[in-house]
Amino acid sequence: MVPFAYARATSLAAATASAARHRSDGAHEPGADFLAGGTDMMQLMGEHLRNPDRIVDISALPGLDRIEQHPAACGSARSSG
Amino acid sequence: MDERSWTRREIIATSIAGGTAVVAGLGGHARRRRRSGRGGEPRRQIDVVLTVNGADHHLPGLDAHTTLLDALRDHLQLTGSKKGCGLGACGACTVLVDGRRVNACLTLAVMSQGKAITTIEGLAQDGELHPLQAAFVAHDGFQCGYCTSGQIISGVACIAEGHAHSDEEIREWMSGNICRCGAYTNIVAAIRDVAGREG
Repeated sequence: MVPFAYARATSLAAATASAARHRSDGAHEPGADFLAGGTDMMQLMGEHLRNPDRIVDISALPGLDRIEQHPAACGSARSSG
Repeated sequence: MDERSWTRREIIATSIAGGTAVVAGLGGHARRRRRSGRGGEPRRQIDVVLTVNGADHHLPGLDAHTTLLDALRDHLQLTGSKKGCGLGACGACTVLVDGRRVNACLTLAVMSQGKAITTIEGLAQDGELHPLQAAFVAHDGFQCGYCTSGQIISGVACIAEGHAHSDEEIREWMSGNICRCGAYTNIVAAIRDVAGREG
C-alpha cells in the first residue's frame, strides 16, 4: 500500500469539500479518496491499483454509517446524481 | 543453539532492528505532525490507541496506512491472527470488532480506535481454553493450523449470531474462512458441538 494522509470527516459538507479540493482519477492523480467499509478500497490500494494521497474516512458520518434495506425501495432505486 | 533457543520470529525481529535504528534518526521531523487524525487535517502519522482483549495499547506515530492486522502482528506482537491473502478472501485474519467479525487485513488500525477488538489471544480465560478452542482440539478441526485462529474467532461469532443450527447453516456462515487443508468436516463438527451445548 502506498502511504497516505488520513482524516476522519465529521460532516458531509467537510467530506465533499475535502475531496473536491484534491481530485483524483484513482490510478494516476494521487488526490483524495473516500473510505467507508474498506472492502473494495483496501484491496485496490493493497494491489496498488488505487494510490490516493489522502483518505477521507466517511465511516463515522451521522446518517451514513449503515446500510438498510427498505422493501418499498427495492426495484425503484434511482440515481440522484 | 547455545544458551537459549531462538524462535524464527525473534531472529527476524533482531536482524530488522539493526536497520530500523538508522532510519529512525531521520524521521524526527514527522513527530510534530501527528495527533489523532479525527476531524482535523489529514495526517500521515497518527497516535493510535487500540483496545485489544480488554487492554488499551498506545501506538504513537503509527503510519496512517497501517492495517489493523499489521498493527496487531508487527506492533503489538499478537501474531495469533494470521496474514493469509491480505485481500480479505481467506479469513485467516478474522478478529472481532465490537463483537462482529472483521477481516483485519481490510481494516485500518486508525479506524479501529474506540472499539473493542478481540483476537484469538483473548479467548482463553484464566488459562482455560475457550469451549470452541477445546472443541477444535477434541474434533481435530485443523491440519496445518494456519487458518485455525480465524476459524475459531469466526466460529465464536457464528454461534453468538445464532447461525449454527445445522451443518448447512454453519457451512454457509463460515464460508468467509477458507481451509486449504480441507478440515471443514471437523471444523463444522466442533462448532456444532459447542452450539448444541449452548442451546
